[in-house]
Amino acid sequence: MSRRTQENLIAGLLVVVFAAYLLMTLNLGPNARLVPVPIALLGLGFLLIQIVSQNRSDGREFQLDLFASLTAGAASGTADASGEEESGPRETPGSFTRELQALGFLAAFIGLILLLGPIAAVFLFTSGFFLVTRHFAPLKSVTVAGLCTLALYLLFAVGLQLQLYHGVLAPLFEPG
Amino acid sequence: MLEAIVAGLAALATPQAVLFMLVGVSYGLVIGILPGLGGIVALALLLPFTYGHELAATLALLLGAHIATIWGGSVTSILFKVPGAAKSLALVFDGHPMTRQGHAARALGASATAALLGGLMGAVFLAFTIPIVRPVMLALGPSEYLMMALWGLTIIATFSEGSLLKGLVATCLGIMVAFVGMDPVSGTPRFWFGNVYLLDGISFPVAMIGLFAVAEMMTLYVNGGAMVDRVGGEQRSTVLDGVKDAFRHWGLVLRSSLLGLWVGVLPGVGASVGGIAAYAQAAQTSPTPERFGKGAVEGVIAPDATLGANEGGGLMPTLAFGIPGGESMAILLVAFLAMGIVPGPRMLTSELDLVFSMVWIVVIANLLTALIGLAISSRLARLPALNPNVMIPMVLSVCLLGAFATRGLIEDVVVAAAFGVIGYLMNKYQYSRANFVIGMVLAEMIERNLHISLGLYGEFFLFTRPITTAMLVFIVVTTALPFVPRYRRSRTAAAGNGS
Repeated sequence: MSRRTQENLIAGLLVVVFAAYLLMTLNLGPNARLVPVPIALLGLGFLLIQIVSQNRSDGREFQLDLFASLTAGAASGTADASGEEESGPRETPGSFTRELQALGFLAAFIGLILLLGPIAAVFLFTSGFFLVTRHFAPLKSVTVAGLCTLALYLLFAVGLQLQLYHGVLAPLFEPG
Repeated sequence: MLEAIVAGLAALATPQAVLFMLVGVSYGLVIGILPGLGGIVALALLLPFTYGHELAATLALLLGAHIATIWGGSVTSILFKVPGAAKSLALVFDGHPMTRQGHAARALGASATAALLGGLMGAVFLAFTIPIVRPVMLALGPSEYLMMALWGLTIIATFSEGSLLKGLVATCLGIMVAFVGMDPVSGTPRFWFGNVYLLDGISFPVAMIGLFAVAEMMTLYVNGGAMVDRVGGEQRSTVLDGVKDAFRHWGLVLRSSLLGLWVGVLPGVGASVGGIAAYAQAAQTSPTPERFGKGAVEGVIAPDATLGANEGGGLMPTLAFGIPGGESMAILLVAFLAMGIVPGPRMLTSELDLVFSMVWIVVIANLLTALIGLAISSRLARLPALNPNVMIPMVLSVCLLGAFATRGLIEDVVVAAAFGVIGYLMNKYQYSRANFVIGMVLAEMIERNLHISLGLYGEFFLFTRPITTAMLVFIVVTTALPFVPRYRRSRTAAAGNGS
């Protein structure tokens, strides 16, 4: 899929979000929608201009450089305010597979937290990640994961006295 | 006044006060470095421990912890591009590029020193400007605060990675997300889909953990390789270079500190606006603005000096009027009341020694934070060079536990993960995450002050309040300013084509 198609898909999705938001504000009272309505309309407007802009045949986008503006043009137009361009995801042939893997890891971690609670999940996820990526040998993976889990337990549960969530499976392990 | 200054310091010269100060600063540094757990969480967790001790010692514990969390937040912004709190956002812009270039130690050194100098200036100004600032503060009403929030929004709207429109869309999205939950004015539930969890709204720290920390870990996995590409974690500069940088740019430190103090004095404005404004003025006044956004040390110094000074300023309305300068100050106010300290004009007359104790605490806590910070900076600077296979599970674990710790709700963990995916996509397609967060932070201030202004001054308040009108003109001018060079360039190009 080309970059332009991807950009259009994202912009289309956002149009749906803005339109749905706008529709939902119709059910609100005049005070409650005083600010959300203009914000959603503005966002929708900006997005539509962006879609037209990114699909222009000359390929020119509506660019603006903060630094050039702040310094009356002294700075050239390439500075990236947050440096995100150079540290953002790089598109390489295998990047889509890596993205799916990253999503899978995240989903697995969240699933473990919901099922077993955060402390058990941290141990399983960390040791599992070390094993899958083959960064450490199995015994070392478990040891490092155990130490990491212990440190987090001491910090959050003991130090900060956080009441930990025990997961939806907790009743299965309760005695009696 | 001199007597009050000496008495304020003497109250802190007890073993308990010294111990509490050390504990508070160390605890604050740890909490600050943990993503999502900023000054508010640090203070809230300390509240149960504030009873039955010396008054000055308890204040040292609370204020010391609060001040140390600020630098802790800067550390994660610089090293991992994960702002510890919304106010540390501006440090990401140049701090993280410095880390990527092997100057993490220098950035941390400059950050700690600038925060120290800013903190000291904030304390001094707090001590001597109370009589001057009071009438100015009282002259400002909700319509002026609305203008200030709008100014913050227009400033950040121009922080767009390439496309201004995408930046504006991200800002609108951030504001929209902030409206999830109960409307603070009418009490109407909005965009909650029948889910009780959403009635409380989306927590800022949780959204930030997702947008920055979780998204960064996803990016790190997709890209492969360490966050910082260096051989053996070798640094190209030292902590001392950063310290020298802060002193070399003393003018910038002074300007940024004054800005921080002013932002702190204004109730409810919040340091996030101050950090961004400090960054903008640093870029504006620099003789080499082209280095900004690419690892300019001034881009680290200015926001940190502002954040350091902000706390001194924030104490002023909290103590003098009982109006908290920000969320953390609101928690401090609760603690003050619990300790029997009643804020009000009396604080500036008969309780002046207590005020000066707090001024001294700000000074000493800043010194301690800077000393500890400088001592550990070179070690901290090596962290981003860790292998991603070690870093990803550990950072994800800390972040998701941090998300859970903010309110003790398991749903926050799911929301942090969801924002992680959103943050990844925003990063990939260059919809600014910084704009999103600032939109989220300022939304409530805009809505609340708009409603109050309409109620108090009527529909035409923009034109009936002179200060508001002047601020509106200022906003229009500063918003239009970025378009002038573009317009000039297109005119020049058109003239060139014509001839």
